[in-house]
Amino acid sequence: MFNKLIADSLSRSPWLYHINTGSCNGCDIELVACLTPRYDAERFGFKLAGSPRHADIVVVSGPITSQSKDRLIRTLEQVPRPFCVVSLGSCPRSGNVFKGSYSVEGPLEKYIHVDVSVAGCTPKPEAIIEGLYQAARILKEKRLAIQQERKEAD
Amino acid sequence: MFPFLKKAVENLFSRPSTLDYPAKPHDAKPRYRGRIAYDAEKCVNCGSCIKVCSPGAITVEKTPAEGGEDITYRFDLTSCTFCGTCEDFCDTGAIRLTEDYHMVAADPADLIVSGTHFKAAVAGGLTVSSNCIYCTLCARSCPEGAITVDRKTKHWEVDREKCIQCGICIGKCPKGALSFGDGKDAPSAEAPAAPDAGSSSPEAAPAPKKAETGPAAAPKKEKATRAAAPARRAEVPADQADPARYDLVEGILKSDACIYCTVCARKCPMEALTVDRAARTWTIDRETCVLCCRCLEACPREALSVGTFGLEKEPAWILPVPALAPVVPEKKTEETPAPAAAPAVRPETAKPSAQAVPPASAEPAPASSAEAAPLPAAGADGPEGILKSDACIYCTLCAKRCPMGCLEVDRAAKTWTIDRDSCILCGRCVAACPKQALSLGTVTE
Repeated sequence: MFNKLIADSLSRSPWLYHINTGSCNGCDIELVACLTPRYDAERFGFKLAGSPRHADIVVVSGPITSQSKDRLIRTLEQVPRPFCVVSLGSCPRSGNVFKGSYSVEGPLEKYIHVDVSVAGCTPKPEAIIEGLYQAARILKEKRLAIQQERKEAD
Repeated sequence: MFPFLKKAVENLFSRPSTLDYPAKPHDAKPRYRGRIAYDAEKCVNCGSCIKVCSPGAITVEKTPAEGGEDITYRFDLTSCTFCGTCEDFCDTGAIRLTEDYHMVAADPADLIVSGTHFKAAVAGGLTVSSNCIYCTLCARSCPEGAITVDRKTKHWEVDREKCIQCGICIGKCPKGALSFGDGKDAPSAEAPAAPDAGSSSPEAAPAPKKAETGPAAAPKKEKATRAAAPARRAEVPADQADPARYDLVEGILKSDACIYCTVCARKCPMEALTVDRAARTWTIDRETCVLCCRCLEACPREALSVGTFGLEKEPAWILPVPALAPVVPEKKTEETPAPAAAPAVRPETAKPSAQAVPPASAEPAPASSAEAAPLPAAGADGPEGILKSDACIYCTLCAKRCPMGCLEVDRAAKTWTIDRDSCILCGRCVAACPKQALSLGTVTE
């Protein structure tokens, strides 16, 4: 019961860590726009975290350039489990117009399972909020599943 | 201090600026480019969208089905840039970018828009008869490179996979040896000519008289007999025409070779042409037509030509006869008798009337406007601006394309004026001009 309270509370304040893997900055601007008073994603507890070690949801934008690939993998390793990955825009899912480039190592799915895809080029802040909301729900389910496993192991 | 207090008090009573978004739906702005809506029934599988898609988000899959094939188009929204180019290039309006921006899914398969339509195969596909002389003209005209012809071994072969059944080769064959299947439902040279021999070009030209006039029956019969041949030129003996009855008006004429493919209508920048494939009608709005001749270039059957047709009196919008030499294929302009012979051409002839096409140099300058300046020598002093040459036909296309609205063209008065202060030298008018009459240069006036 105590565990469920924790899972519930954490799902009401998921912290975001944003990685730009060579994005054109369009999606990054829209993600920041979500946190402005106009859209105010903090109403739902979404908050940008400064370090991947504090993150619950990792938001990835950009087509994964070869320069950013190793850094992306290193960052994702530091995020405490369980966590959710949200791909922002077309680039992380497919490479968008950059696909086939010598310096693009995407898609993101090659490196980690993407939980929620937000399509658009760029997505509207409303769509991003929707995606984050969905990610928070998935995160809660993941957390409960892990707790269940632990319980059964005990 | 005081302005701050005023604002603070104001804000106390104003509503919060935060959108109450997930609670209340929030629509995107008009013309927002969001989720793609694809109407498979409208799609004709031309592939234009695939060619113009820069991220390669559109794929097509063809699966054989009974009596044809199922064609499935897939639009991957996780790969799309939402540039809207596919929508612009879709001639049939099958693709539309809606204002729906809710494109969030845990499963990327939910972000794929697809649709399937059935395309019936033309029975048997392209076939060749024993008339073939292995001249290779068909192979050269094929846009898909589906035909291979070997003159030495007398071998003709078509790659059915590649053939898109456009019918261009059929029109090119000098011996009429090519046809689709049994030739019944195919756009071959024979099929369309017979039923509409009497209704094609006469119907198009707004000359209501010719139905009643005596000699009209003769050319009709002639056309019917010629129908088997690729009837590009339906000629009428000059002595049958009545020169006094009609005034000379230039216009686009259509011959029986027309297969009503609608290519001309799509290319027309003025949207003056309407073609109905089902009803097999071709109509032209002469008021709108600017004689830019793009339809002539576009016609895969070379069924269109510039010629004269009759009207009882000269309309106000009659244009100066434009110089067509660079546009019309050479073979059509080879006969160039004096313009005096022109009224001899009957209105319903589809003959490419080169008579009405004097060389550009001989053409008198159209009623001039102050701006009709000759091109100045390079390096002359003065501000940059748009210049107009005498080739202008006052078609108003430039004015329509001008984003600043600084061009004014009067078709009736034959004037072309530019507001040089508003002009931003974007060059769209230069690109739009069908006669290449505009250029960017130094204004010397």
